[in-house]
Parts: sequence; C-alpha cells; structure tokens
Amino acid sequence: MEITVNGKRRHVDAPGETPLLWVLRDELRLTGTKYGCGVGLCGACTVLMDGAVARSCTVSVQQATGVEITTIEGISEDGGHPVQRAWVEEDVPQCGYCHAGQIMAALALLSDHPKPNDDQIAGAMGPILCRCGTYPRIRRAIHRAAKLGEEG
Amino acid sequence: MGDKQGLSRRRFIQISAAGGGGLMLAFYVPGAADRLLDVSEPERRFNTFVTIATDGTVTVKIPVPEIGQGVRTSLAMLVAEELDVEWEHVGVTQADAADDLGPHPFAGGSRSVRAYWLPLREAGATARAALLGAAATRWDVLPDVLETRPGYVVDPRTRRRLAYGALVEEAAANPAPGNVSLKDPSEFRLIGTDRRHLDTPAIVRGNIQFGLDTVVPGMLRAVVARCPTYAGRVAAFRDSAALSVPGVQKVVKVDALGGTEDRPYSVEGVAVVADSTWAALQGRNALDISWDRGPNSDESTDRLHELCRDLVGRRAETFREAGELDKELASASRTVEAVYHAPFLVHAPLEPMNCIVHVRGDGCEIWAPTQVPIPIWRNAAALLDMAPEDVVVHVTRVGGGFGRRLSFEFVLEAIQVARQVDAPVQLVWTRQDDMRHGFMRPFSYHRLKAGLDGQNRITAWLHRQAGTSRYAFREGEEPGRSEFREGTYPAGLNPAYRLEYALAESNLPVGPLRAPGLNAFTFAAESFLDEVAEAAGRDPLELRLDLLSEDQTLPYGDEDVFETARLRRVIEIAAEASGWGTPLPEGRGRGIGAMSTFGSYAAQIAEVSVDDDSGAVTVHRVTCAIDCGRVVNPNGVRAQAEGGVIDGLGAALFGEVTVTNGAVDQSNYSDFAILRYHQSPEIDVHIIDSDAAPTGAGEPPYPPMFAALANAVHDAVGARVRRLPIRPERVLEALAEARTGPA
Repeated sequence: MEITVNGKRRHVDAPGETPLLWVLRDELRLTGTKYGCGVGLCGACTVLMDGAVARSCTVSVQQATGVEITTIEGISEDGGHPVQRAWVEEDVPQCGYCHAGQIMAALALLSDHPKPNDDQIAGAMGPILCRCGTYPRIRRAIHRAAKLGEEG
Repeated sequence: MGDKQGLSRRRFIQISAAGGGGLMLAFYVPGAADRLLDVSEPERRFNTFVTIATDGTVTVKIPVPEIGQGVRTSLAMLVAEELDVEWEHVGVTQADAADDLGPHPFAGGSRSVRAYWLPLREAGATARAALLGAAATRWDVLPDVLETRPGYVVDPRTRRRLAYGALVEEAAANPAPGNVSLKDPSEFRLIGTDRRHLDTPAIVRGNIQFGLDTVVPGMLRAVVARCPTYAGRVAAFRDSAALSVPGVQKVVKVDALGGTEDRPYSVEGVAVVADSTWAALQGRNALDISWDRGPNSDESTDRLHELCRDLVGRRAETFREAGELDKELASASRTVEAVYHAPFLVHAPLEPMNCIVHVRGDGCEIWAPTQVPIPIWRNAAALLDMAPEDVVVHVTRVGGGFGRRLSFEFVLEAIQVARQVDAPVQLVWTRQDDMRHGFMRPFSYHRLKAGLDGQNRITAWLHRQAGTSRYAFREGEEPGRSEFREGTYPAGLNPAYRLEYALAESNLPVGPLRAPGLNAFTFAAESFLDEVAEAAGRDPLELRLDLLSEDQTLPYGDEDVFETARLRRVIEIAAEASGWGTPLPEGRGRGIGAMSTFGSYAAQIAEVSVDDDSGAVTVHRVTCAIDCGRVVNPNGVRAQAEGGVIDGLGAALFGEVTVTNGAVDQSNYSDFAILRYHQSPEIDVHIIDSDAAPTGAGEPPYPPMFAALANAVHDAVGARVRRLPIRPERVLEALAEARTGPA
C-alpha cells in the first residue's frame, strides 16, 4: 500500500494491521518517532495525521493511508521551525527520547491555539510522558514558540 | 582501542589513570615510526580524549555514556577550557569500550564531572602545551614567552599568531609535554557558564540515534518470551505457529546465565527472530510455551510485608552505633516512634532495554544504550571466548538510565541469539518486558525511635531497617551496607544512636536506582525528623538547623565526608526562598527534606495543597537548593535538579511495584505511573556558589523529595502518611487516624 509521509508518497510492504509506528521506524527508517509503551499511554510515538495528533503505535498502517502523515523529520528542512528553535533556546531535552513526541504535540497545540493558555497546554502535553522531568522547560519553550510564531 | 584502521600509523600521547588514582602520561608509538606517516584523516590525536583537525575543529571523545545527565557537554567543557578554544569549534564523539578511558568510564554515582575534573582538564592542557611547543619551535623562541587566545598560539611581543590547525602536525610529532599547569579558576571562560547541551539541535530534528534507532545492514530483530515468574524455566515449547508468521525467520532458545539457578542474572527464554520488530512480536504471541514456574512462584510482596513488619518489630543486628542508646531511650522524658515503608520501584526509562549484537567468525560487534560499556565488553568476550580486542562495543545515546542500565542481561540474551543466527540481531524488550523482567529498587520497612530530654532536644536515635538488600548475595558484604548507605545524617549527629539491619531474604532481583541506599532511607529519616519536631513542639526547620549547628566534618560511607555546614546552608537557602514561616491558606502546607548524596548536598521544600475529601495532593511548588561544589555547567545542574524533583515526586505519589506468585503485577505506565506535565509543579532551583571540588547533581536532588512531600502533606492537613506511595486513600486514612487517634 501507499502512505504519504512528510509530503512524499511512500510504498510500504508491511501487513495492513502493522502499527504505523513500526512501519515508519523499521520499513521507512524514520526513527525519529519513538517506541515507549506500545499502547498509546506515553506519547513518544506521536505523529500528525492531517495536522492532528495521533499515537502511531495504536494506528494501523492501513488506517494511515489517505492522510498526510507528518513526523519530526518533516517539520522543517533545517530545524528552523519555531517550536524547534524554542526547544533549542530553552535547551529542553535531557536524554532526548520523548522530544519528538513532545514537539509534535506542541506543534499541533500551537496550530490550534497560537497563544495557548495553561489549561490548553496541559491538555495537549499531558499525554506525552517525559521520564527525565523536562516539563518546566517544555512549558517555557511552548510560550517562547508562541512568541516566535507571532514574530513570523 | 576500537579503531582498527590506521592505528599502526598513528602516534599519540596517551593519558590514562594510574593505580592509586594518579594520572599517567604515556607516550606511545605503535609501530616503528618516529614521526607521523600516512595518516588517513587530516587530523591528529593528542591523546585518547582530544583530536584537533587541521582546520582547527576540536573533537572531544566522551568516556562516559550520555543518559541525559549532560556529560557530552560538561566533560567537553573541561577539555575546551584548558585547551583554550572557542566553544563553537568543539564537537564530541562517544568512546567505544576501551582500556584507556580514564578513571570512571561508566555512568553512575553522580561521578562523571567529579572523576574527570582533573584528568580531562589535564588532557586539554597537555594538548595546549604541545601546540605552544610546536609554535615555539617554528618561531625559534622559548614556549614560556608564548600565550594562547582561543584557537591560536600568539606571541604577545610581536603579535604574530598561528592557528591551532596549522600546528597540529608538528605538535603531534613532538614528545608529549610533561607537567602541564592548569588554569586558576579565576581564569575560567567556559567552566561555570551556562551552556546548552550540544546534542539539542539534533534531538529536535529527530536526528539523534538511541540504541533502538540504530540500524546495521542486514539486521534482524528479536524479542524473547520469558516466564512471568522470575527464574521460571521453559518446560516445553512449540514454534510451528510462530515460524509461520510472515517475516519470522527463526526461533531459538536462550539460556539462563550468571547468578544461580534460583537467582539468575539473565533468565531463560525463547527468542523469535524476524525481519521486522512487529513480525517478531507477532511471532512471540504465536509461541506455545509451557512454563515451569520455578523456585520463586510463591514469592509475593504480601509475604514481604508480613515478614518485614515482623522483623522491624524485633531487635536486629547492629549496623553502626555510638553512645548508649538503650539507656538514653529508657531515661528520655519522652519517646517518639514510627514505622515507614518504601516499596519496590522499577526504573521504567522511556527507551526500553535493547541492543544489537553481530557475532562474526573473527569477532563481535555490539551497539548498546548502556551505563556500563566496559563490563559489557569484558563479559561479551568471555561469553564468546574471544580476545577483548576482537570485541567492539559502541555506546549509543541512552534513553534514560536511572541505574537500570548498570545491568546488561539484555546483552547476554542478544549474544546468545546472535550466535545462533548469521546476521546482526537487534534484541528488543517491550515496555511490558522492561517492567516485569528487570531488577527493582529494594523493598524496605523502617522503624525509627527517638528520645527527647526535658528541653525537647533529641538524646537518642534508633533506625531499624528490614528489607531486601542489593548486597544480600554478595560475598563478603554486609546486607545492611547497601541499604544504610551512609547513616551519618541525621542519626550520627545525636549523642546516642544505633542503626540496625535485618535482611528479608528473597530471590527477587534488586539493584541500584537513583541514589541507591539513600532514597528509601531519606524518606524514613527525614519524615521522622518532622514527627520528632512535632512531638517536641519545635519547628522542623529549626530542629534541623539546630541538629546541624555545630560545624563538623564526619566520615560518610566509604569515601565521602559529611560537612554539617553545607547541609545547613542548602536548608537555609531553600527555606528562605520558599517563604518558610510565612502564612499559607487553609489546606496548604510546606515540608522539608534534605540529604547529602555522593558528596553533594540538596534540600527541597515542597508546597502542596490537599483536598481533604478526596485525599488528592496537588504540588504547587518545589524549592530546591543544591551544593555540588564548583559547577561546570549551571544549566545542566538546574536540569538535573528539576529532573530529580519530578522523578522523586512521581515515585512518591505513584510508585509501587507489587509481586504476586513470583511475578511482577505491573506492566506499563498505566499501572506504574510517572509524573505527567500537568502534575508537575513550579520548580525553583538555587545552586550554591562554591569552590569546593566538583561533585555530582544527577542523584542528590532525588532522595529529599519523598519526605519533603510527606512532610508538606502533614503540614497541610495533619495527615501523616508513612507508607509510599502517597495515594489519596492513604491520605484519607491518615486524616481519619489523626482525627480519632490518641492525642
């Protein structure tokens, strides 16, 4: 079957019930999206499907045909997306494993709410676990990304 | 040394650790050449740790695995400072397992900056001296008249200068300079300044390679089916269904290794090897295995609760004592007594265990996210009956350590699979595997009893611990030593004290978790200090400061010291910054926790509110003060403090692993929760300005958090929870007890 990832049509051989996460990682070698729990609890596998967050470990590749899938590798050419820049400026990551998922969730949040309040941030970011405890920096980075986004 | 190409053509200065803790500078010429020949890359290695290219870029080889503690940045700063280069020109590579990586080439003990503070600065200074020497030769002057500016050797008299890159060839051809001097701290340009972590730009682009992300051409994937009961065995299995799952290539047996039959280091299982992770998982689901549940099938945390409650109620073996405790307790005006419990915990790092092993006829290559590359290297060589130089261990980035990756049973599994398959094998543990088949922070009960005199001062302090021990089966070790890691504070500050330890025998696997031997201990001791304060009618802050009021330097564990002044200081600073003593609204409270861990000192004050209908605890703010001596990267220390606070809060509020019929009950982040974004408080970190020798920050902020939280809950609503985790129902129970219990 064919799926569209980061703007490109990609042919995949995996059986239709294979979780999208494993197709992205193993077949397409897009390892930026991470495996953390396999059951949609940790958010490490978060991608966007038609701009909305999806936990790719709970979506079959069959379900992902016919939508635009965006992964961390596809949000900018050079790391220049405001969310990525804010994440660097606030030096958010420690081990770094959760941050693809965090960034995708933040991206979706800021698309829906360019100047999010704390409740909206909590709603979007609550599903994404960080085992190292970078939440205070995530918060600052989201506010900073909102400002950077405003500045265009 | 891991690099098999061109090594014989290279000449380099070797810096390694000498026995007895000193540094040895060795000049090593592999091969007969007296000068540099035919080096394939346009760069020169000055020692194991520093490479400088002809364009002046500096690459520091990092000897410690990066688990998120920031060593790839902080250790590089040590080299860059003394070498005198612009930070923007510094990059890092990760060292493979090797013998010449200095004093502490593993991630643990909050020890990286502490151990490498001098060796890496000397490495940078040696390279700088070599460059100065080369310039001096070229200009025909004495080296002492020359200076450096970042990236350049300059002659201040003539203003002429040479870029490092232009000098590297000559510098590498000279004998290694001896007796290099290090900068005075007043000259530091980099050390002590906030630096962003070097890998952040790659991380935000999804370009950073963890173990699980590593791809080796021709690689297959494997997962192992293990008995739910620890140390259970395969009685029989049928693999025909598994083999007919598309993508599955082979099914192989994995033997138990190491330890004993009842307590193996690595357990027995059946591995499914496939061309994709999903196929391997599906194949595993299709295995038909009947298990022999093994020697631990009756084990349970229920049994351990009963056993430890009993043990902690009776006199146990003395671990350490001073003064006449029993006499003091007998003659005390008042005594206070309480029992605490800290459950099993798992580490649950977000990247589950995994590694890649490729066994070839002539050697073995391993890629592992690990905290201990050298033990993997040596054990792999032994298991495969190969010479160490035929085994290469690459260290990938690690998606969280916390002590879990001090163990490498997953590598032994992978080796066994890889030897039965003619391809590299990536062995993957699922989240469920990771929670159920690793090792745990020990289970313990603590009974504390204190005596107070007529002036409400503590005269006697008893701390009796009963639990499973990391040293239970270590030959020649006392089981109490791993669980009463230090014991000096607060017990040792009292005129009479006794620490007692009773081992609860169990085969369940236990091991180190962030601040091992101190995390459970501090919950009990610091909670009890508050209970003593309450009984004595004293403020918990005032009581602690009084206990620490005399400046003393006491022995602390095997190799540290405990300085009362330094713990006092972090408590004072945290208290002031938290607004201690200022009024709080009804239902809100503050609590203190403080401890010294691995030579650093941390105090935290939690501010919480408690809903007395539901028992729910909301943490509003944590104020943390940390003294880790001279700081290399303050940004990194703040990150570790924030992380330690959040880790501690999550464990204190949610962390508990239970065992039934020898099997762990929990399996995912649903039943072993960690703190989430919206549960995380405001965190205010104060780093003490110190010129003491650097000590670590990864573990010290963790132990105080548990008692800070329990004490804050008590301050808020008068509910004393003595059993972790602090669940709402336990808060309600404690509230009920407070209302109906004896005055």
